[in-house]
Amino acid sequence: MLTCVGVGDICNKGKNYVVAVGAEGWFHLFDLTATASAKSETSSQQEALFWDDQKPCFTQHIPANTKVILISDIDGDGRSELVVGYTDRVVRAFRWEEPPDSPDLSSGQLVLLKKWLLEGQVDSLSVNPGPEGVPELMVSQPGCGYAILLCSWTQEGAAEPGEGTPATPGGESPSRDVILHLTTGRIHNKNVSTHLIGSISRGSNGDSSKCGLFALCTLDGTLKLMDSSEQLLWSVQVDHQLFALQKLDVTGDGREEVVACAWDGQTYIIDHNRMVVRFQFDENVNAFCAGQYTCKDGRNSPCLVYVSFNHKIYVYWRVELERMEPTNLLRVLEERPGTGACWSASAWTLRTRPQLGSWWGTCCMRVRLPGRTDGRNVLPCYAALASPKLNSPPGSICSFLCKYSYQ
Amino acid sequence: MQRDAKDSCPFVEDSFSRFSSQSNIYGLCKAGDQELLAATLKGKVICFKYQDFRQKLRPVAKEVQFTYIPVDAEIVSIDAFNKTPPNRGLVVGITFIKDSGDKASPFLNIYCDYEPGSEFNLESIAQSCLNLELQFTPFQLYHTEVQCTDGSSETVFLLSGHDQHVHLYKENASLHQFEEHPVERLFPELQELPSNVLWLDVKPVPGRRRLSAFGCQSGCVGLALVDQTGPTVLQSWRLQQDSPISTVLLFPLQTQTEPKPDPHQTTDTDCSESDPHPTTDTDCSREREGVSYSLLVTSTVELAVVYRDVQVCGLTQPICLPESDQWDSVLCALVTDLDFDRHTEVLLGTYGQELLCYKFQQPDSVQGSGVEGQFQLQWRRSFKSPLLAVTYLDLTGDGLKELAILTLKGLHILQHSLAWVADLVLQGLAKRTAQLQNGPETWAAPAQGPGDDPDSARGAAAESRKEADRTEP
Repeated sequence: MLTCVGVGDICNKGKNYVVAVGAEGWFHLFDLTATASAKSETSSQQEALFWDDQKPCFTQHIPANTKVILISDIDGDGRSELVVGYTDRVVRAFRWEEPPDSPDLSSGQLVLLKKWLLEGQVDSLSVNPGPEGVPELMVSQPGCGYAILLCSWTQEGAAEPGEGTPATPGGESPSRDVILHLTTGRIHNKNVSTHLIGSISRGSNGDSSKCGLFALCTLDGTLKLMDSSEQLLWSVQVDHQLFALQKLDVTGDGREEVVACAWDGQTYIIDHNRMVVRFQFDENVNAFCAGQYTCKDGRNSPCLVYVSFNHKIYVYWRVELERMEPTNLLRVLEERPGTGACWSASAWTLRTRPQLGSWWGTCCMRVRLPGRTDGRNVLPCYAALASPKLNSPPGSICSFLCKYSYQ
Repeated sequence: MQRDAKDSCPFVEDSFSRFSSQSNIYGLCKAGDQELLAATLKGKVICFKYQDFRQKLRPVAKEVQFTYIPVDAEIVSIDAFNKTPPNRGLVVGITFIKDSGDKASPFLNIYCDYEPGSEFNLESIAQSCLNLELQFTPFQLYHTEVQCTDGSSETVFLLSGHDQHVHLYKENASLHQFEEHPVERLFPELQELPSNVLWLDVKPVPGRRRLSAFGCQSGCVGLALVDQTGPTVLQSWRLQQDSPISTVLLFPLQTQTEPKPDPHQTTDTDCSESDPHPTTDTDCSREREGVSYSLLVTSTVELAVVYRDVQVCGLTQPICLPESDQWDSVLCALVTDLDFDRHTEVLLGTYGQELLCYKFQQPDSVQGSGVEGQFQLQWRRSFKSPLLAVTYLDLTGDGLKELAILTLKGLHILQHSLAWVADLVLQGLAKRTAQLQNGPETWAAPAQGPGDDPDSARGAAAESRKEADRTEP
């Protein structure tokens, strides 16, 4: 029975492979791109992918009882490792190694790097930049907890002097390379299943902090966003059983929102300021993921993917929001860069111009150009305004200009 | 001014409120300027609005406990209006059918608070009820303004029913209650109806006249031009379609080849009309009189049709809305200018879960060439459940209206893409600025001091344009 699948550059060849690991410990590698290119002259790539039996291009047996895998660089060497979480509370890290001049995968193999033993079940594995910006391997622990697993092999080969690996904070107990963190707060059930996701992008808003952002969710409805210095950004309690946690930039501002899905289909999208957008998927959810995928137009767009219990996979594509928060035109205009300075009138006089008709008035005002403060550079500027005679409700766009310009 | 993707829906969904039970095509109305009331089948009325909560705008859908609606009642229709000045207050009407098992009894409840200070307080209005038992199954509850004999005007309820009649309910100010009046006296055009009226629309037109249109279950469409003083029916038209009529809607459609700005248009963002010639009051009134009304008729099976210039041509100038029958029955419609280009668009909501937007393509400028204008499908947007009712109002309090769409599952609020509208506003303002400065009437310049020679004025205009450019992101 397959328990985990993943896609990644596991062999560090600059090429993605599909990884499938069974509970019995059989590790399979698939190279889908090779098949597709070989068949491309007879049929379209998609047909080749879907209708032809795939043969694994490599198979190896690793310890059994696998539960969850992660393909990522966990020690900061720029190369991907395979991390496997087990149902018996063990986490193992493997690295793909092969002779330098081997022609194909058959001569390579997975080599065990390290084994960690944890106190509770591991539901998710993730990598998050630590306080110094070095990636840290994090695993979730029951009761809204998490543990940081230290990659001790980087210390063994401590070639670089004065290195600042994340081993230093846990220096008191070097014998154990598991640093357990239990987040505070009202946790009713210490054994509740917990998920975690790290490396949530802060966007390019000049936040100089190197700390990575990560989120936690529990099956009893707790959601937390924290950074790697253990500072809590927000905590949300909901009435739904959250079983999947993802990150996705739905607003396109470079900041990734936290996406949590419950068994009953209720989906929460929460930004860094704790603004919540909810979506109800109309069926019970078997599995959920979110990410940038290509559905149409040949470009990636934010997608929510739901697997139902009725043998169907639903992909919601182009899940794009202009913003997370409800707002109105006045606020949008006030936030426009430059407009505030442009329209801040240093002095104004309001005259009505009967020539312009009964519903047009004109405002003559002096506008100071940004950056020019001597009085001689003040120039007149006119804005069209609605006169009070206009039988429009207060706050129409025209009268808005009036309000806005006077500010 | 055009959007990049011309054929995509220019709206962004801002919120969705799921209702516990379904609603119907009569289940949505405006309550005041910035609130909506939605009635659901199982007797619940939801008030939807945007609340300013600690400087943040939040959508709030709250159930309002209207009194005297029994638990086993099924709401049919809801309507609300603000009383015509000088009277003050919000009036809410709800029709429902109480099914106690043996016999279903229909009622009309009218809610209105006369206590000074709470005339607009929905919570207190919901507690003061006038309960009227009906002898017929109610359909659409509608309100319109009528001219009283003494010259004042008053807003009344019109309720159509399955008894082939439209019933009129008018306030008795001295008794603080509403009473049924014979409909013939105020609405002579609504007597001797051919069938049950499913939808009614009344529009006042200049010259103390009004246009009344109704659509019937039998497929009959009626239209009448009525002189309100009297009132007397000046002219009336009937037309038979093949299927029940879901909506009739009267609206002004500009037919001039060079459209002029509509003085009623409040959301006028484009200040760039090339002709800033003085439009005096007389011009205005002439233009208002020159507005020609059109009638939109949507049917449950056939194509939706717009009859043009009904005051003059009656129902003889139909234009079909192509493909409008492709997505099941059209259940709701709205006519307004959605993209601020001063041309009205027709929005249709269908049971087939689509919102369709049609734009009127003006006929070629060659007059009398026989080329008629036509409607073209501009964009469509799919929903997750059938669309029942649609309305357009300013919920967020910024002067920009939002589209509220009632579907079988709840209430969707679609907002204009604010980034786009903000661009439009700033562009319009910049254009206007440049125009006023370039224009011959640099009337304000003397007030600005000595720098009013033509050269410096031109320089200032250039500066200002540059400045306006800088405001664009």
